[in-house]
Amino acid sequence: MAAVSGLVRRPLREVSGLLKRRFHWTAPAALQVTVRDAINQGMDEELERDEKVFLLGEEVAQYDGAYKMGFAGIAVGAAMAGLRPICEFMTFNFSMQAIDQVINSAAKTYYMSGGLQPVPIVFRGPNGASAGVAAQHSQCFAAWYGHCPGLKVVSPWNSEDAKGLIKSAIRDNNPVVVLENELMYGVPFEFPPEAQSKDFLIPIGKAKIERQGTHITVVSHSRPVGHCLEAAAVLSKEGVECEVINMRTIRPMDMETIEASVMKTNHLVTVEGGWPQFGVGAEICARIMEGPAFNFLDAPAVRVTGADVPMPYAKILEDNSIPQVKDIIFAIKKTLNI
Amino acid sequence: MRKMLAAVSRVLSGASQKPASRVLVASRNFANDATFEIKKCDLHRLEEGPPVTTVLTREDGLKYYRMMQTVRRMELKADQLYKQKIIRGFCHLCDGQEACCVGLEAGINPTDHLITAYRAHGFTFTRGLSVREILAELTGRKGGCAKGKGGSMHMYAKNFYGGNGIVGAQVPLGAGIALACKYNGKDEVCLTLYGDGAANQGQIFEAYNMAALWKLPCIFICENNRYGMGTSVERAAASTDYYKRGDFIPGLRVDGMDILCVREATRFAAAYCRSGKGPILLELQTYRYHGHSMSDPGVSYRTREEIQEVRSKSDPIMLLKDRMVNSSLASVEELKEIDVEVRKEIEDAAQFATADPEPPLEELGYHIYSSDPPFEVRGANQWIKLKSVS
Repeated sequence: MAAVSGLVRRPLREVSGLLKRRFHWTAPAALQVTVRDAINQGMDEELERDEKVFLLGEEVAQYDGAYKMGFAGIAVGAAMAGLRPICEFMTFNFSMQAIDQVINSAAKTYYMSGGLQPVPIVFRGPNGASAGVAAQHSQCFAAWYGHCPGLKVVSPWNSEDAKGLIKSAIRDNNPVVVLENELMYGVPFEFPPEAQSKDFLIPIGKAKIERQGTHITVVSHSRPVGHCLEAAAVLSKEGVECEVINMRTIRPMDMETIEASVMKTNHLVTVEGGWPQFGVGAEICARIMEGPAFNFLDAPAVRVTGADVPMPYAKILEDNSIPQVKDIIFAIKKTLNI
Repeated sequence: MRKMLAAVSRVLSGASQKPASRVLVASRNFANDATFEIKKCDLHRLEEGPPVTTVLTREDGLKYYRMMQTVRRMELKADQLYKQKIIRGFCHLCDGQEACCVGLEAGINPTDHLITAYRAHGFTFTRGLSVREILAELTGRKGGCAKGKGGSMHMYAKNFYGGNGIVGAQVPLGAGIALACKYNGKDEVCLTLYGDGAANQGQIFEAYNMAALWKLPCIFICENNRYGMGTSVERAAASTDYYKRGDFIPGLRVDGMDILCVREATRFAAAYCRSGKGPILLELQTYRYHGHSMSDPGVSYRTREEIQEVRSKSDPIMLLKDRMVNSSLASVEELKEIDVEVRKEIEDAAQFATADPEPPLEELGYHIYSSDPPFEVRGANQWIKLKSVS
């Protein structure tokens, strides 16, 4: 036991030691933490809290050479036998090889067994576009994983999201997919005092209103949330106040928050990095039509998404394959007819 | 003499309704145990293998006989129910392979772990579930072991992880369960089964690699019944020495039709794993009488003569019976009695499985998530709202 658990639990303790020291130097209110550190902090706290939690993955801890389908299956098996693995994919693109284990062995098992066999596992890793990694390494899997009953899927944007959601994911007794974003790892955010607690959790299935507004609801997840806030800042100068919602969870989706907002603003734009067809925005639009908010819409709901192409390599092409701030502003203005 | 009198009095005290023949049977003197020679296993990267003789006690012999007969009759009943369209969908039967599930169970503890693919009914029984629960799951009723939610390929029990439908996927799962065994430090092992058809899959080799690197207490077991669906092993594999396919993992080739051979090999393998040496591989050479599944008659890729030959020369139940009778561990009549009891048990279970109601529609949405408060699940349209309870 010591050999195995040491392999996957020890290194993070070293990281946490560093983080602890940082806390003593700065006043809590002004604490800046990068998304990467927030995730590591969250995982480290949960490793400390429950000895059943351990890490497994490609190039994780000291272990080189784990292979995708094999190790995802091993992680799921360990979860079935009562441990609580955190299975890391180097990127979620690799999870496509292991997707059978995520869906057929993890997501469906509690249901198929009639409630006998839970699978308390976390799959985490960077999702979606990065920078210059081209088509095979840039796909967003929010829609693919969000499609499946039995899975929970979360998509943090900032550091607070990252820490609170990873901790909730680890404590959840169900398979949870945590879609992180590589370009956000190094971005620092202010860490509010409550986020510094070892028991800081963000509930899975609850969206957050990042910015209050009255004219239009803008719903997004992951890195594009930042772009939406930038667009909102620009539009505010023109007298348009956007309500920006950070979904935080893809499945189960918090439609209540979105509907309540649309019933207030009468306009909706969804923003995501993934492809348009059968995407997260498509689902939101469909559900809006089915619910009370439809009658409050003054214009059709509009989606802003990644371009419907495999991700190109050249920078100018790549930049125009994901939603930019100008694309979001344009869509908002079109929706508001201004 | 004393033994005989004791036997007689035991029987008489409980024999008020038993026919005269029962009393006659009990008055014979049976041996307590007997020693049998078993086939030597082919070895790969091992200096020594399991012993070539083994002791079978009368008690164990009767237990194994009853278990194998139960699995046999249960599978035949499933065949019948399927043809009556009371069982639907997938149904992969293991009659012919009884020595594998019963022999493996005989070589491990209930606290050990086992996972297999879809030919799983026998293992579901040997791991502790009742024929009733198994048949009711096959017929999709609420009394089924998975409440009718899983069917043939998705039955679970304590320390039994199914029943897995995707070929080969259960092998990395098994290595993961072995990882948990090592992590928990309780000297438990995990038996991870797959067939000759799955044996060429990449993820199995990934699992071999990690199990060996991390010295996981995983017994990889290839149940080689010579055919992967309709493809014979010669047409499927560049190397049919499945016990060697683990390469750096030591292996044994075992006569999977002889329950004692399987038991000894399993004991040997379990001891190997428990000593911390890492994984080991068993190839059980066995045979299935049925086709791959109920939609396969099983005679387009093999001859009826071949099937008949195995039945008459290598049937696992017949082999055990002959051994027991010839060494006075049991009598023919006694074993026939067991047959009668088993038939009755299966009949009762089939009755239950046919009469039990289907799961209630209200529970369609149940068991999506574990440990969560109830929530709403969408039905076929937006107005159909199902409740989901953990």
